[in-house]
Amino acid sequence: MKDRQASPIGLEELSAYVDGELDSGRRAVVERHLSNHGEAAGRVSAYRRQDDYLRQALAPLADEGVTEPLAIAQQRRARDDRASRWRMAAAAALLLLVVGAGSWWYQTERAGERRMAELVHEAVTAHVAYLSSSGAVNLRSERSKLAEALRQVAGARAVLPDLTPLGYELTGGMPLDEAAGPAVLLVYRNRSGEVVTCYFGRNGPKEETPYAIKESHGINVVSRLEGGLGYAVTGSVTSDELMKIAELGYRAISG
Amino acid sequence: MTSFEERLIAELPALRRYGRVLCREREAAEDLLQDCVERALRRRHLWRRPGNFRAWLFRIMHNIHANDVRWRARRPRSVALEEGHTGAAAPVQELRAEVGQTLAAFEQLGDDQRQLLVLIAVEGFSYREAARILALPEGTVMSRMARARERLLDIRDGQARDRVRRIK
Repeated sequence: MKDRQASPIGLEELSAYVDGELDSGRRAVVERHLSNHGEAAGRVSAYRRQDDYLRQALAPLADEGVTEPLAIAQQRRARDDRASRWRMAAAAALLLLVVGAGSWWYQTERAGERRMAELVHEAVTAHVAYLSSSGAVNLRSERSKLAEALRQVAGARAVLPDLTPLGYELTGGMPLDEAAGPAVLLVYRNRSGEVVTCYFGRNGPKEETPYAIKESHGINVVSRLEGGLGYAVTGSVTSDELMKIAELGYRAISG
Repeated sequence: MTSFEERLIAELPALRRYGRVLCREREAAEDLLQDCVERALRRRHLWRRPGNFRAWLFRIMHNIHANDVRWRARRPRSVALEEGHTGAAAPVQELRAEVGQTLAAFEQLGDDQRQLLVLIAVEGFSYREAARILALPEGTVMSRMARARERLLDIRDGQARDRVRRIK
């Protein structure tokens, strides 16, 4: 406490010194002062130690949320827990939707276009959520569950799409509960790490649309509605490549 | 070039943490984070490269929170204080003792001091950036930061004295 009054260098300046906020002239003065005033030097190291503890103490807060892997195993968790992570994920996906692509769909009165818009929204949300999660999914054990979930959405004859002819391996995925009903996200990755996701969701009214391509901020989506099914393929690859992937993937569910 | 979205996603963890410090409570903090992301997106055309993207985002979050607080202050309080004040304290027991004590002391600080400590000591913002985020003069940031550090040390001194007393 004595130091507070006695020191020609105020506590504000010591604090600013710790934060690297002094110009070189004052910094030199403070450093000279510290070298022969033990109390002031002790205070500076106490500040630094305290800052360090604070960083450690608050570090976990940054990691609570979507940064947890959105892995299949977590589907077993409480629904509420998942809902809150999804809300966060939805925020991440708004990135693409609020500004860029939004205008055409919410204005439309036609049910098919509206469902198409929802489908794209769901698919891009899932895609971005997956990308912003850190999780690599241990797939081998879950492949059968994904296949089962896909059959529930896309019909008994559906199998997991094999995209290896185009260089993409199935690396993960997750069953989802969307407002329109159950859905499945399948995640594919090629050798250079490019991620493409295939999304299968219910199509409430029996609307049909041909393939449509949406481009928004470097992410492309190819989607279509047919029968009871909504299908969307999302990725940051060219729309040509995405279309090839979509067509190949579609064969796996059309039997 | 990294897209606006990717940069935004990269900042989500830090924004989430700042939201927790602002709200002290997880659910409210996630809502705040979402509001912040939405507003950032709606205003993306207002952000100009090579502006300071992080400071811009933190300022958005801070302003939303400040407005929420003002709005809530005009309404009767509907949540019991004990309920609302769960603190940012996450898994205290898993932290090293000094770290846990620092967190406990941090929780006792006023909002102004906690915000400043997080922005500067944890997020590494400069005084000038923090001043912009908080809409304060730089000089105020400097003096308030020094007071916050001292207050934190004082609280921890108090904790230490309490422990000594218990041991005796």
